[in-house]
Amino acid sequence: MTLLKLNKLIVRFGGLTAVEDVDCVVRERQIFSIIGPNGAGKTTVFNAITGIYEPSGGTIEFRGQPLRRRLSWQVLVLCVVVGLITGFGAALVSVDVNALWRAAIKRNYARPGEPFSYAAAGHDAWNYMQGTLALDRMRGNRWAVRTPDGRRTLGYAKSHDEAEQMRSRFEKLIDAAGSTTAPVERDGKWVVRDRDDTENLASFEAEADARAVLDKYATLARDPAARRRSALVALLLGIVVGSAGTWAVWSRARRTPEVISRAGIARTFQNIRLFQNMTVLENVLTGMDRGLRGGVIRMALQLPGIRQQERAARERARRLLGFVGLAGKERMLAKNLPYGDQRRLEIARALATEPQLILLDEPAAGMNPAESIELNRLIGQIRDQGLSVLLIEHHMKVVMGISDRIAVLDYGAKIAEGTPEEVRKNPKVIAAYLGSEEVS
Amino acid sequence: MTPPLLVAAVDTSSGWQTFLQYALIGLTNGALFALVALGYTMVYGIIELINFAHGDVFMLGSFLALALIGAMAKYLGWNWGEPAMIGLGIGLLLVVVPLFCAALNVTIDRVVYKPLRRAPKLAPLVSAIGVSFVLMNVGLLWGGAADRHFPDLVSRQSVLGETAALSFTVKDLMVVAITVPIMIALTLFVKTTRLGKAMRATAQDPLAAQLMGINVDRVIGATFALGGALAGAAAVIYGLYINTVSYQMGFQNGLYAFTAAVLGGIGNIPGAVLGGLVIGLARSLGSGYVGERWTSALVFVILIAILVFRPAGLLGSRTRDKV
Amino acid sequence: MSPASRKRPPVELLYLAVLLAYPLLVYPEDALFRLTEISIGMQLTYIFIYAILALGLNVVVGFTGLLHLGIAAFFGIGAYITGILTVPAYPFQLGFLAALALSTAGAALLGVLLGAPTLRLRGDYLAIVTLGFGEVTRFTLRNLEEITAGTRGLNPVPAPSLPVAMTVPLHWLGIEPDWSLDYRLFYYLALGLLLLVVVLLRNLEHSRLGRAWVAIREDELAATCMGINAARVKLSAFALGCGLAGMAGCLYATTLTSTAGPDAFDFNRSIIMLCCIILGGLGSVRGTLLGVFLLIGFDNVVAPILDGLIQGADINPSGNPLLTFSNWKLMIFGLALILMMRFRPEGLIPSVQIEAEMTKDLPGPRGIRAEAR
Repeated sequence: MTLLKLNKLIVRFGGLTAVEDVDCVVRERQIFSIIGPNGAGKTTVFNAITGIYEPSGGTIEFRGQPLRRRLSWQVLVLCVVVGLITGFGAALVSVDVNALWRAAIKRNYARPGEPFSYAAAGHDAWNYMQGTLALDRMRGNRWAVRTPDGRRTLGYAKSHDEAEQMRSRFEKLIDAAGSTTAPVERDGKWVVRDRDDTENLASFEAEADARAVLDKYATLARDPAARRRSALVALLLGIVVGSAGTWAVWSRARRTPEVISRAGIARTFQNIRLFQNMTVLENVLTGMDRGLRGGVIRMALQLPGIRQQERAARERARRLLGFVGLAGKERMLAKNLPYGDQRRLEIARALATEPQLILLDEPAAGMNPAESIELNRLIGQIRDQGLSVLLIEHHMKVVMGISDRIAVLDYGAKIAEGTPEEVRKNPKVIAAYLGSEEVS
Repeated sequence: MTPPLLVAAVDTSSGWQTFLQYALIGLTNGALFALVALGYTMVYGIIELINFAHGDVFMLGSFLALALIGAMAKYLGWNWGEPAMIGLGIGLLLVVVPLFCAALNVTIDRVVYKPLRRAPKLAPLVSAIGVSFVLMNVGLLWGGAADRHFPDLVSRQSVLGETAALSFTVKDLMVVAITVPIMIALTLFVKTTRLGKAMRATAQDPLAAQLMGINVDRVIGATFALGGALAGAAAVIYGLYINTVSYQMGFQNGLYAFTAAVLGGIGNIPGAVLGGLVIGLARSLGSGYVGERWTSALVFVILIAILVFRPAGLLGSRTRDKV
Repeated sequence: MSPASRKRPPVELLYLAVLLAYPLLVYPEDALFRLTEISIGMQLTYIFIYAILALGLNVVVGFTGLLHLGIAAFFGIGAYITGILTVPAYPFQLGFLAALALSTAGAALLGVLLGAPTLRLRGDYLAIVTLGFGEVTRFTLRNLEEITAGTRGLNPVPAPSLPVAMTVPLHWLGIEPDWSLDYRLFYYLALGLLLLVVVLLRNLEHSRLGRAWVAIREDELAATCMGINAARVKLSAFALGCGLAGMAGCLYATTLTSTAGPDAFDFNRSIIMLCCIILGGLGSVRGTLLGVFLLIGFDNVVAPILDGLIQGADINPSGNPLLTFSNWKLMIFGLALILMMRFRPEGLIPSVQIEAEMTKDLPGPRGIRAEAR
């Protein structure tokens, strides 16, 4: 059965084409080798498969699926939630948090004789955003009319009804002061009319007095409609930017190495990338990460389930280390291992992720012949456990001996594919690669 | 009180006018940020180090300029009241201070960063913070904890004439007249000269550059020298333009300048200029329309937004890990 | 973690016993106070609080290898959340435990909001984003003056309420059950929380998550290729670190009975904390504790004493700024960072070396023999 299928894979860096139109099919329980001279693009193929590079063209399918994180409803919910958070944040900033706090919390809390209530605070916050003048009950059943944020007192009234009337008059006055209304002379007095010119709001002996009052209230007349509009714009802008940003961040992370590893492809690296300052055992345990469960709190408390799971994982890690021939070295730091052992540890770490396909990038590099033979046997054992192996190799001996199929890359293109026998006899291969280097 | 209708009419036109005025101030300020940002971006481009000390080199440069102005008047009898002498004096400052800053920057690199070239990335970064602290302390001991006044040598007269709708002062003109040629010269230098090409090659791939016979150490030194010189020039202009210097200004302006470099795409020279202009604009429009005290928050929000939507900056291209 | 380390004489327990006993033996505190005019017990309380902050920073910088330059901002956010929720000027007036929980959760949440968009980017960007966030937080705390009381800070933050059952044993130990009269209540509160944090962090360090943190620090690409969700793991470290900072902030505000001003949470504070963990040893809990003890001890105890000595000896009658000790503080911290990075980047008690030593101490040296093969 087909496990991995590359279809016309292309990887370009800038204008440079590293891999061009490579087709490749790896089946279950198969050892498939990619050989080719240095710079042929072998590691680039690996990097494209494991999600380190985004392919510039072509498809990579694993068990008939493209290797991508799936869009789930959680992602959409997250987008909406983040959007709402940023939107409300932006709206809060646009209505002036300081003033809102004063209007809703401080004013309520300072009110004498009344316990603080969140309902009243919410009501006042809403009124503030509407731009309504505030009414505060004073001692002795007197009432004060205040600016929406409660900072300035405009006047006092003896009863609630009177206060309501006063508020409505002040609101009209402020409205008029903010518009283009000018005082007009009526019967020897200067009066300020409301915006629609239907009612006298105040009258003064001199024009200067009327103008002074208008000027005084003009500073309060920030058009409530405009403020609502700007709060709404901030809210919508925040929602759009927040959710689009979440979407942008998520969609960039759709094809990460982690997704591909979880799908069942593990790999090693040409220039060894172990966790140098961790012990051998910890390296393997890190490979098992995705198989382990438990939230932060359970881990912090080391609940019995976690301990048991950890013990089982350690046991499995020891078995894996024994399998690759590193038994007894669990406690050494990875960087203190000899070179060949480091390569074996990388294999153990990759196997710990429980893959179906393992990608080995020049595992025999730097090994002596005896170690090479040992490695061959290990690769064979891995296949016997039911895994497929995709191998990049320079050592022709390794490849010819164990591969089921071989593909040859040269200058980023596949020039031949077949069984070891077929490849060995292929004239193109001999010309491009074998002829110039080592012929076995 | 003017008749209401007329007020409304002026308001709409002055809305645009105010906007343009803010934009003009913003671009002028941005040119200054860009000059500092270039030093960050060039060093980052070559050794992938956020040189936290860069802002403090800039700060010490402006302290030196301040001291020189005083010393020239005292010992050389320099007349800072006469226009020709002012011009010549500023020219002189623009030679001496950049030289000092370049030397300082190269020394820092040789003494502190060079031994750490092969160390993990955190080591030079933390050292850079350490250098920044040391330089800040030097500034504190040199200039004291309070803000210092920097002589107001350049005229605030508008070059567009007093009646013009917009104001663009001689001071603003000075900033543009000095920063723009420097940026053009820098671009030509990096594009055409041997050393400039070596710098670009080293930024691309230090190992390959070394194999091609480029003396990477010399290139790094030259980059630090060039970045320091730019900071020095910026320091002189900053002092003359803002007229206040303090030992903390390196940290604050350095933060803005580095944000500019990240915004434009770090390691990218035109990007740093663009980033500087964007930051300058955001700051001046922000302080005009949102409020002075919220400008730094606004700049920060812009930075986050750019990083979310264009992680490599406005002009940067995505880099790949080498595996 | 390993049997070898368990068999060692528990030095930590000795230190702990000294710290537990110090305030009860009244004599040393009195003697030191007469000598230095500083309440060493009170300073130790602050050291415990800063130790929690440093442990939080250590999770981010030491374990996970993310350079966080704005930890003080989260410290401040914790302090201010506590302030807003407890001061008598506001109607909320929650108890200490609720404030502690909400400060921790609030700081962690802000950490997640800041980290989520930036943690996927290359590491250097995070340094600048956290640095910028630190500054913006400071300005914001100053600007929201209706809420935060501007530069004055919120006060008084009330002391925690003591359970009634505690009064008798406290009396028996000779401790006044009044937070403002006896420093020892805060001392034991801070020490207790610090111990709790240390134990929980040790557990986490040796769990799946701790390994994932270190793996990301060692080689992020290899870690993701092993199926570790780097973004999520980094975010967890970031949230935990910021949350611990918020917790320390709550404790700080409660102990100080004030949130202090926004400037108490500036860049210098972040750098001093960074110095602590670098001096002690990045990624090592023991090292972090030692670093905090040395540096904060120096900053809060030794420096004032030296300043006092200079003043007392009348060396500096003209008030020359070069001759006051505190004017050289930045220089000292800066040089410490540079020299540590140059000559001992692993710190005084490095974590890795401990593990390496443990390998050598193994009873059966099979590992070493195999290495010699």
